[in-house]
Amino acid sequence: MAEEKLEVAVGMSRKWDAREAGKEVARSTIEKLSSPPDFFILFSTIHYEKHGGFQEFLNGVWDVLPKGTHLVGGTVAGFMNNNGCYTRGCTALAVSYSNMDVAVGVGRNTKRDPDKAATKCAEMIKKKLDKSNYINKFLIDITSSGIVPTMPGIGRRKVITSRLGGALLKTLNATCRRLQIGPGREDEIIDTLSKKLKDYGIIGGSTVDDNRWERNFQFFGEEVLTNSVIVLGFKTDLKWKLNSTFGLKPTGIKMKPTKMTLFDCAIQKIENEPAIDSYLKKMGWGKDLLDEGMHRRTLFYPLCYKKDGILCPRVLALVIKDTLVFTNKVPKDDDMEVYSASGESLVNSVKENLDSYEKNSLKFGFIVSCCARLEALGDATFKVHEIINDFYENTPFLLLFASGEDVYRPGETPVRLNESFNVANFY
Amino acid sequence: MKDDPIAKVLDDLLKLDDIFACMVARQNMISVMPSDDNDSFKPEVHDVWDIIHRAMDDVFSVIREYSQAGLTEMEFRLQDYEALFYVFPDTENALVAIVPALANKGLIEVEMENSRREILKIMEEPEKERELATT
Repeated sequence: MAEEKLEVAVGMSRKWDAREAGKEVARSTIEKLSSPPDFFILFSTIHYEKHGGFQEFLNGVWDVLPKGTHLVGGTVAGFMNNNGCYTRGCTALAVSYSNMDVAVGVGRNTKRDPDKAATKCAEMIKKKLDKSNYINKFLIDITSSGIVPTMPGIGRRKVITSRLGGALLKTLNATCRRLQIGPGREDEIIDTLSKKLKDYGIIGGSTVDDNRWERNFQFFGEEVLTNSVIVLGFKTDLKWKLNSTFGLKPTGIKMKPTKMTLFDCAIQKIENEPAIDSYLKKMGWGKDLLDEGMHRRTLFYPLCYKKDGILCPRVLALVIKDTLVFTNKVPKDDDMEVYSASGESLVNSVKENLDSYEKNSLKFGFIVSCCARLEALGDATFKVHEIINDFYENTPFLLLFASGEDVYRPGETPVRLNESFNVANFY
Repeated sequence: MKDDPIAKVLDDLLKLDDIFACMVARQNMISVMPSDDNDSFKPEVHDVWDIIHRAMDDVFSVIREYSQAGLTEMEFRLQDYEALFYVFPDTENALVAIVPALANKGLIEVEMENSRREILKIMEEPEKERELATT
């Protein structure tokens, strides 16, 4: 029997030039391995779009990375690794392991037909990994996030209370599907992936820019994609454990959405009243708070519901006329509750999460956190980094700040989350 | 200032879309500017620079008073802009950035902190090493 050999490495680059950064992130990662990686997970901030472009960035990576390596990734709001915490640059995690079979999948046009895209991904994974004899199955999914539509005469505002907003809402469903803008429809993707690959643990998140939700990109091999879902699947003898924490507390403020639109991501009415009036009344907020700062203000007050007992927070993305638009699905006729967060509770939830893990035999960690937590915490994110670094010490880890998170454990309900902190540790 | 490693840190910061201007300063004195001085400041900030600069000096009097007591950060909003001050511990100096009032400040703050740490590291290097590094 061949000797088992596991090597994990994390690298990064802060160079501005896309090609040079691509080369450096690949070199700084794989130079720590003695054999070629079985997979290479690559994330970057949006900045390379204006400094050579993402194709050049990937070309730089492939100048260094051995041909044929499974590469997946995309753009994120920020990232953390053993070196620090960044909202500019790129990072990668590479794994080389003798006892592991790997497959990748891609599905396109996620905003038009998310079920079809996820099905395509699942088929690609099954085709290659069904023959593998390893027992432990795991999947990382990376999906294109929602895009805030640009509206004629309005631009990309987050609060539109004028009459134009009402007109816009009437056409938004069809426009979003046709132009692939609006909600990312990731809820539907994780539902399909977990149905088709029900024995796989899943962690994932959505690609995003610098939290403007104007554009985002996915990386698949040598290709730069948009509106796609990318998955990395592996079967191995490594054990995995997945845990999610939030740092949110119930406020007792409850509301029941009674009329929905936009793929069930937008609440038009709460308890049969215009949603925005009802929301402001219940929150005790005046209409003067309805400004472009609304999104940032509500980061500390996500609206939450429970899906089979699992907390699902939703972050308010836009206000259009009377309608509250969220980044992901909201249940109709179900009780929702406003939860509250503080900087301290968000930081403490990281420790609470990691305290559930053993350190012995830990091989590497892959963490997906919400970009809303990054926006809410700002430079207090370095406190989060200290906690994570203390836990992992010299064990490689990679954390990405994504626009919404996916979690699924076999036998449980798949969930699409916002404002969550999710850790997958491998032993 | 072209070869000053601190100016290079500022150059990096200024490349971010939402950093309109940045510098290392203290009361009544701008210590380090980006390599192209204020030529590289984004045009948006030029019209309001004088009033922001004056307001900055008032903030620095507070920094001077309280930095020894552990003051590490300050900010103010003026018209459509915000000025962020990241104080270098136990000094009267701060890394200052002017950003749009509606910027995604959380993300900017992370890079401000990275820049502060980088500048601190440079400041801690012996002068001779710094000279060698810039030649």
